[in-house]
Amino acid sequence: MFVKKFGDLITGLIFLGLSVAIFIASGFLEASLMGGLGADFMPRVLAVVTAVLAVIEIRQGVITIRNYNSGYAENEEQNDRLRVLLTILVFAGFVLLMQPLGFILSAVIYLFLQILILAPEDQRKAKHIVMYAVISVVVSIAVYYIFRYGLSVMLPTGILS
Amino acid sequence: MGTLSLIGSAFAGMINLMSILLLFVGGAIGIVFGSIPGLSAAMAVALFLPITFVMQSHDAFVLLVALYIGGISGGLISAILINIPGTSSSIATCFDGYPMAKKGQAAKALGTGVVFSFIGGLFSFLILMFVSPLLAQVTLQFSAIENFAVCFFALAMIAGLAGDNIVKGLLAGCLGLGIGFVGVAPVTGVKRFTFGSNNLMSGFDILPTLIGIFAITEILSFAEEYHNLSKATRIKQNTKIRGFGFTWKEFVAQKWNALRSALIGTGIGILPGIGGSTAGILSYSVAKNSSKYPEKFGTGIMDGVVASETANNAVIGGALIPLLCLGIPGDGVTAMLMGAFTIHGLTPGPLLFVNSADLMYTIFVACILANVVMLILELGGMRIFIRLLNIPRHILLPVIMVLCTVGAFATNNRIFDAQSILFFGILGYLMKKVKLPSAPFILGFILSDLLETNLLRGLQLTRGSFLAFFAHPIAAVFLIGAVLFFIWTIRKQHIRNVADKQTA
Repeated sequence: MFVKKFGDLITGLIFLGLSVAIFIASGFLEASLMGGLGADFMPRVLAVVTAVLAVIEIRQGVITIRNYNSGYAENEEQNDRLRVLLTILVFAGFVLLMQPLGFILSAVIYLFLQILILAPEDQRKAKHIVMYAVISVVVSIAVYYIFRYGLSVMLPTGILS
Repeated sequence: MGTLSLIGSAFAGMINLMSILLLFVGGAIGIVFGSIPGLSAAMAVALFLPITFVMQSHDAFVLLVALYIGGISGGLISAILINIPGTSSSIATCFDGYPMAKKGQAAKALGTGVVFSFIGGLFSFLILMFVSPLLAQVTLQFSAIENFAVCFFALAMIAGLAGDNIVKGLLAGCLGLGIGFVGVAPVTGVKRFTFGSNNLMSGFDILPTLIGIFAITEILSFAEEYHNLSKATRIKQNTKIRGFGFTWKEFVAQKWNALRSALIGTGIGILPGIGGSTAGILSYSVAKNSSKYPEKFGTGIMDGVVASETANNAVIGGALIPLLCLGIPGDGVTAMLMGAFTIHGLTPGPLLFVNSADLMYTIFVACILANVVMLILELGGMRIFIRLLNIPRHILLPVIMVLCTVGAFATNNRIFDAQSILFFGILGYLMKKVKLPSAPFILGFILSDLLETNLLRGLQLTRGSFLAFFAHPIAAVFLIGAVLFFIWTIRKQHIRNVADKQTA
């Protein structure tokens, strides 16, 4: 599997890149008005420490690749990875659409899709889907009213207002 | 000598319907979160933290403490019955708890786990109650220099005990520190790494960060691994407990084991960044090594359950000591309790004992009472909790996602916080993929600000000389201790790596 083989190397490279970026970006920070160490000091220290660690990690990554022996079945994992990707997508949709659509509407859509994504194959028949829809609606409305009126959390009302 | 009267009035303050209700509700919800694999004590506290905004600080802490204690001890239920630890604290409980259940001694195993959880918790709360006010008197004298040294020490501990791979642990800590730098810089007030966004001016809020890293990551992992998880949730066990499920003689036989485990748990709790899972496993292996019949461990004997459960609950009281005396959280849950203090306008640290002594003692007393409530709920309501284990997780987890989002939103009533949990969720998931541990990340994130503030203030005190820090004896001890500990850990890891290579 890709991550198992190249994960260490990629982690090292990303952190090395990150440390260089932080070091350079620190140079553009405004100097402190009071003299002494400024806001750039700690990021620079961190960048140097991170860079050293990243190099060690890269070395480890090379060893990992050399010692890696393949031979894993990958079929089942394809399916699972799709489920993760879909989960991220619907959740992103939920938090991005919460403002324009309002909490209730976006939560109903999100809950319904998310339950469908996670449900095992044998629990996706018509009767299950109806149940999921009912759960989505009831939970969303209940959460909205509990938080809005019970706890004064002003969840977005969106187009339903 | 106001201590006893403070304890007395704290007890008196708990005798009202609201407090008792919160103890039971918090305890029950905590146990549910603890017992369902994939949900944790940290998640329970994260979820309820926003709700405490509108509560009085007394009620808020009663609820949070009950959730914390219920959440840690609830893990034993699934560990014993289905061999999956409900929380990472209960990993070692599986070793002997599940074999006991397979032998038909589920009730005895559960009774043992519950009673010794109670004892471990009680032991650590008594230590907390009597040690922390004394310790706070010392730490009250600390200047920025000592505080910096303590933060530095905490950072070294976390890094060293992050997991099997030190480099990865350290990198995760660095990432946390780096993300902590976002926002207006302490002392100097310079805008840093905000990319021109006003939302990032005050940095990432601790609560959305924690929710993202703990809760969202967990759900993404579930989406990936549910094939393995969904198979293992069938339970058929007789769980009717008569009395405690074991005899008085059996109880007395465990006294040294329990005492040793409670000490290990409390000690590990005090050290930042190690946590309940290590305490349980360590205590289990110590119990095994010092036992007269080590070969019986793992076959289903009480000793194993006692060692693990006493220790992991004793961690709770220990973990509260650095939070209350130094303002430094030791793990995810205490980090969130730190958030709770801030929400209620309090700064965690030794000043609490001066300014809000009544609240401090309320927390101590709430710990003890929540522990009692845990005992009652778990002995009395075992059947109900077991039934809750059967809620299909493909329905439960999405609902929790929605609640997490609402919780993050409620932090500042802005959509930005709800969106940042998506960022931290994906970050946490990617970190998990490449085996970067989340605990060092969180602690790095929290310590970032404390470390920098105290360093810069300390340098102002010494006119820019870092060496002058060593003229302060306490600071010198912590700084040198941190370096020594760090070297020791790396050496230990190196030896282990060499040993692994030889056996491989």
